[in-house]
Amino acid sequence: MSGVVFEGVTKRFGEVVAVDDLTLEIADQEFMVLLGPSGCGKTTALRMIAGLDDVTAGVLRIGDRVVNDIDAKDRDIAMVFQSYALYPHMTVRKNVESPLLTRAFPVDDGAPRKLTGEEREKRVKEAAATLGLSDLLDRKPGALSGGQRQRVALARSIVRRPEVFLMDEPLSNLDAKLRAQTRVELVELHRRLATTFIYVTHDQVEAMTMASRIAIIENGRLQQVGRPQDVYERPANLFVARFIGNPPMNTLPALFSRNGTASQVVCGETRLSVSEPGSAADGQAVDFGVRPEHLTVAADGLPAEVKAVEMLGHERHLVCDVNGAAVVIRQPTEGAPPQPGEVLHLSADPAEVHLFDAETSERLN
Amino acid sequence: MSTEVQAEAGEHAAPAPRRHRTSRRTREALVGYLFLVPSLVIFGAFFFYPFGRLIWLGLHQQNRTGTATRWVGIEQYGEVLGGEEFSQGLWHSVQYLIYTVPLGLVLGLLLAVAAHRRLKGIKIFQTIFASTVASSVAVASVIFFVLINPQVGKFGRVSWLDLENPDSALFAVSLSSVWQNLGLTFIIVLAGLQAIPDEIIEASILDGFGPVRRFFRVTVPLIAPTLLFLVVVLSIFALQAFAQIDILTQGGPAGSTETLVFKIFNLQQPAKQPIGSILAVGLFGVTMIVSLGQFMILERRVHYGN
Repeated sequence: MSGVVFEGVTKRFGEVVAVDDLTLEIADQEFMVLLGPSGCGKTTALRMIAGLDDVTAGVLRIGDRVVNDIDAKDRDIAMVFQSYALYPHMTVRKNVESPLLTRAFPVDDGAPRKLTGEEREKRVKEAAATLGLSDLLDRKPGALSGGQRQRVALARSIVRRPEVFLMDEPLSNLDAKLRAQTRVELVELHRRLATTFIYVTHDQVEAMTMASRIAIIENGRLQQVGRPQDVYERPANLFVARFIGNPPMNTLPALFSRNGTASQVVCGETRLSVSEPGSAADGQAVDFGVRPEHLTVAADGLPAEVKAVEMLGHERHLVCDVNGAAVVIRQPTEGAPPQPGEVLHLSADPAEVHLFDAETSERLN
Repeated sequence: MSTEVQAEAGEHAAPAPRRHRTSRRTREALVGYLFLVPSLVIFGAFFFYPFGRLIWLGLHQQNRTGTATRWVGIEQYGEVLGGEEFSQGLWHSVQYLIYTVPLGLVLGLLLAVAAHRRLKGIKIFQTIFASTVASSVAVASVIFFVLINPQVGKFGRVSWLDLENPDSALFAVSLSSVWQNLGLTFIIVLAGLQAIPDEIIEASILDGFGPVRRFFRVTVPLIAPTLLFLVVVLSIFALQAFAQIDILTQGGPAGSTETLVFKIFNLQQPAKQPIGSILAVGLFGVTMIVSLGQFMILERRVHYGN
């Protein structure tokens, strides 16, 4: 059992800094999701753990071992690639068996040795059964569906029982329905195997639904680490606030004003009260953020012109224009929806207003 | 388009739209054949007609001036194809194939694997390795001739490259072919290597495959279609080789480099043309059998991906 620790890890490709001074501790048996937009460095971080990219600076540990100079094949990890990277000329059986061919494994608590053909076959069958592939062992990847290939890739990674599983956007090639189903199965698999999962994705829904903790990365820099709910409720900066949540958090430029005990943000002509102003100072320029579910239509408040109404069945989203910025409101479907062109007044739940420094984008409250 | 037609068809009564569809299909077929006409004309003029004429000539005898022909029949094919001329030429051609194809393929593969690494300055080596593609057979043969010339050549004293010795001449000529074809083999294998997804190679690294196992278990199977193509093409090249033989040995010494093609070339006087024609038809048959055989044997072991 082992966790993974980044201590000030940097990766440069020539002039380009892919990962910048990353310090992150991934606990044993954790389901850690590295989340960020494409090109943010999350895959590079994963590839450094795998040993496919070397570390430019800093220390990388798997368990107690510094692995900076350890070959990929000698690390106790398995990886599922975005394209699955199955061997197209081999059957499913051979694909799943391949990590067992060259390594020594402890058998019955004895000294590690290479497995016999029978032992390998037994393990392959176990892994195949776990992922529901038992009937497909003699097929080649070309004869499988996308979802089945993805399972073969998973089987190939679990068959060697590694300390750490690495997954690089493994669901991105599946259709939406299969993706939702596989998310549940991955969480289940993580619980059953009780090992460390490190999972890279740009999809915040995957991160929110599966992670025990999320590490959000942008431009090679770690923005925030935390449990999904914490990251959602208290985003550390404007980037995280806008990246997590669907539809994303509404943010508008405003001035903060503190008047005795009463705190307000002034946005255009409108004042909205804030119950927890944190370190925001009177007269400070801020970006204030409100999630779509914390905005309500009221008698007076922020004037917003309705641009579109999106009906989702269980709720509806009003896409509005506030001083030239798009603002989304989530509403229950009761009553007649407002018409595009209509001007509404919005009020925000004072306890749910997020304040960010307009200059540094860091959270203030 | 077609869904629109079907939607319309659904609204009307059945028979009328059906006729409409059939006529449309005929029209499409006609257009298709029209597109085939240019290539049919070219193949007809430069392949089918000459080939037919070759077969026809093999059934006849011709006088010294080529002005008169006389029917002798299919027996002439039996005589010539069963004769020493054909079997000797075929044997030299087959030897030539055995010398050139495996060696050329292995060398091209090694160079391509070496050049596939992403090292600085590798483009220069790739260009050098590929350079023989850009030189003509004649030029390359002359260069080779100079290299192994006993008086001035760098390799003039190498006994197994001696063009004067009947035991080594064919091999020496083969070696020049290997060298000349190396650029093509190299480029095609390199393209095949570059088409292998990085992730598959990385997966094999994580699976613990060392370089040798990776090469034989992953790389070679994945470029197998490329290698099959090269085996077939290089075999055809070998069976058709002419210019390098003509320049280096003119079929000598003592006829030891007279391949089938060279013999056909030597039978160009009108009176011997029918014999040459039969040898040519025989060569065509041999080439076809070799290619089909390679496809059938190797195809079973070749994986074409998805």
